Amino acid sequence: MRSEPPLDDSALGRHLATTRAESFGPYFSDRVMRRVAAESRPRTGLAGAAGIWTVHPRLVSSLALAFVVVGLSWWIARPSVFVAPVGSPLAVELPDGSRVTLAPGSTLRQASFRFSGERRVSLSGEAFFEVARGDAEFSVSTQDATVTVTGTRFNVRSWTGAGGTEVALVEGSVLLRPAGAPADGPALAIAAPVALALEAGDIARVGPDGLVRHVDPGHTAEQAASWRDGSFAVSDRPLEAFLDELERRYDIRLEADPAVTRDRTVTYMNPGSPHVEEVLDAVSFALGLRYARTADGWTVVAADTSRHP
Amino acid sequence: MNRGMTETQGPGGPPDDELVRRARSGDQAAFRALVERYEPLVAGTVIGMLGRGPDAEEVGQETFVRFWKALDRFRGDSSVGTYLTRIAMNGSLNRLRSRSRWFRRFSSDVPDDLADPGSRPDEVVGAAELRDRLDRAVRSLAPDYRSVVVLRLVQGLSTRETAEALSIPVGTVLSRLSRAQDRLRSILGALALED
Repeated sequence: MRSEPPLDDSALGRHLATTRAESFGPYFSDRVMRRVAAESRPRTGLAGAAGIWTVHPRLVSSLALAFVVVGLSWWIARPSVFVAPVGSPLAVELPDGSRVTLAPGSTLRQASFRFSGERRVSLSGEAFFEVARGDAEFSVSTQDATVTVTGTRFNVRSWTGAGGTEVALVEGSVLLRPAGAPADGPALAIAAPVALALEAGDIARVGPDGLVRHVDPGHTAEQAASWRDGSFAVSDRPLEAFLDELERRYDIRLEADPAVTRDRTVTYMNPGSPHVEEVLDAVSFALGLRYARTADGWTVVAADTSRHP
Repeated sequence: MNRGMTETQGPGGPPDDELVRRARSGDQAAFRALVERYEPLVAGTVIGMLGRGPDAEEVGQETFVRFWKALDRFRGDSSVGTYLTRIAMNGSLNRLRSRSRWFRRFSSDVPDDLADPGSRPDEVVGAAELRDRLDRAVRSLAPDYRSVVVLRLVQGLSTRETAEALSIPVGTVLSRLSRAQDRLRSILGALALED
C-alpha cells in the first residue's frame, strides 16, 4: 500500500517550494486583457493582407527572395539530428564514413562537417562509435564530458540525470576530459586529473563533480557495448537507472513502488537477448522484489509490501 | 504545505462562480479579476515548467485567453484553479515539445547541463545560487516527472489535486514523485538536503 512521502519534513521539498514563481511581472493582467479584447473584436481577415500586396509588391517579393536564400543556406549547412526511438537502436553513417549505433531513446546531433572542417557530434544517451580515420579530430560532447579521437571504436554512456558520462574503449585511443576543460590541458594529473588518455580495454568516467577517473565496473569494455546485440552487462547500476533503461530498450512503461527504488543497485549479465520478463524475473529474484503486468506495462513492488507501509 | 486550488473567493472579492457568470456575459472587469486572482497559480505552474522568459509569458497569456474562449463550456465540474492549471500544464508541455524539436533541429550545442566543474556538491552556496541550481535541476527532469514535481512540491498542491490536474492516477503521482525526488537528490548531491 502506498503512502505519501513526508514532504513537510523533506529539506528537498522545502527548498523546492522556495523556487515558486508568483507572477509573470508587472501589468500581466493588462497584457492578457488586451489579447482578450482583440479576441473579442471581429477579425478583418484577408483585407489587410491584400492591401500589403497592393501597396508593397516589391517589398513582399524581396522578403520572399530573402526567405528563400536564407532557407537554402541553412538547408545546405544544416546540422543533422538522429533520434533512436524507444524500443529499437538506430544505425547511422556520418559523412566522413564513421558509423554510430544509437541505443534506444538516444539523440545524436551532428554539426555540418562540410563547412567547418571539424568532426563534432553531441550525444544525449548511449551510443557505440566506430570512427573512420581522418585528418580532422573527431569529438563527442555530452552534458559533462568531451571525448576526442582520431580513429577508434568506443562506447559512450551519458543519460541525463545518470550522474556522469562513462566511456568504454574497445580499440585505439581516446582523450576524455570534462565539459569545458581546455583542449590543450594536461592529459593526466595525479591529484585531480583534468583529462585521461584511454587505451583499449579502459573504462573511465567523468562524474558530476567534473573529475575524470578510471573505473572497474566488473565487465569489459567490449561487454559495455554489448547492448547492440540485445545483451546486458550491467554492474552496480542504481535500480532506477536500470528500470529507465528497460523502458527505453523494450518500449514499455515500468512503474515502481516508492519503497523499492531507493538505495538498490542491479548487477545483471546476460549475453543473450532476453525477453523483458526474463530480465524482471532475474532482477526481482536477486533483489527480493515482485513484478506484475499493468494495463500499459509492468509494476515492480517489494516482495513483502507489509514491510513498506 | 498545501496551497490547494479549492478556494473560490479571494480576500474581499466575489466568489469565482459569480465572476465566471459575469465574464461569460461579456463583463471584462470580472474576467480581469479572475486573471489577477489566478496569476500566481498559473505563473507558478508555467514558470516552474519552462523557466522565466518570453515562452512562459506567452503560455501564461494563452492560458487565460483559452479560458476566456472556453467560458461558455466551463460548467464548474472542476474548480477554476484546477481548470486553469490543466490548461497551463498542457500549454507548457506543448511548448516543451516544440522547444525540443526546435533544439534538436537547429542547435549543434549540447543541452543545458548541471555540471559545474568549479563547484563541489557539498559546498555551501548562497540562496540565489541554490535556487538557480534547484530550478535547473527541476528543468532537467523529463516532462512527466517535472510536471509532478512542479505541482506537488513547488506549487504545494495535494497529491489528489496533482492527479486531477494531470489526469493521472494518484498512484502514478506517488511513483513519479518518488523517482523524481531520487533523481533530484542524485543531481544535487548533499546540496538540497541541508538547510
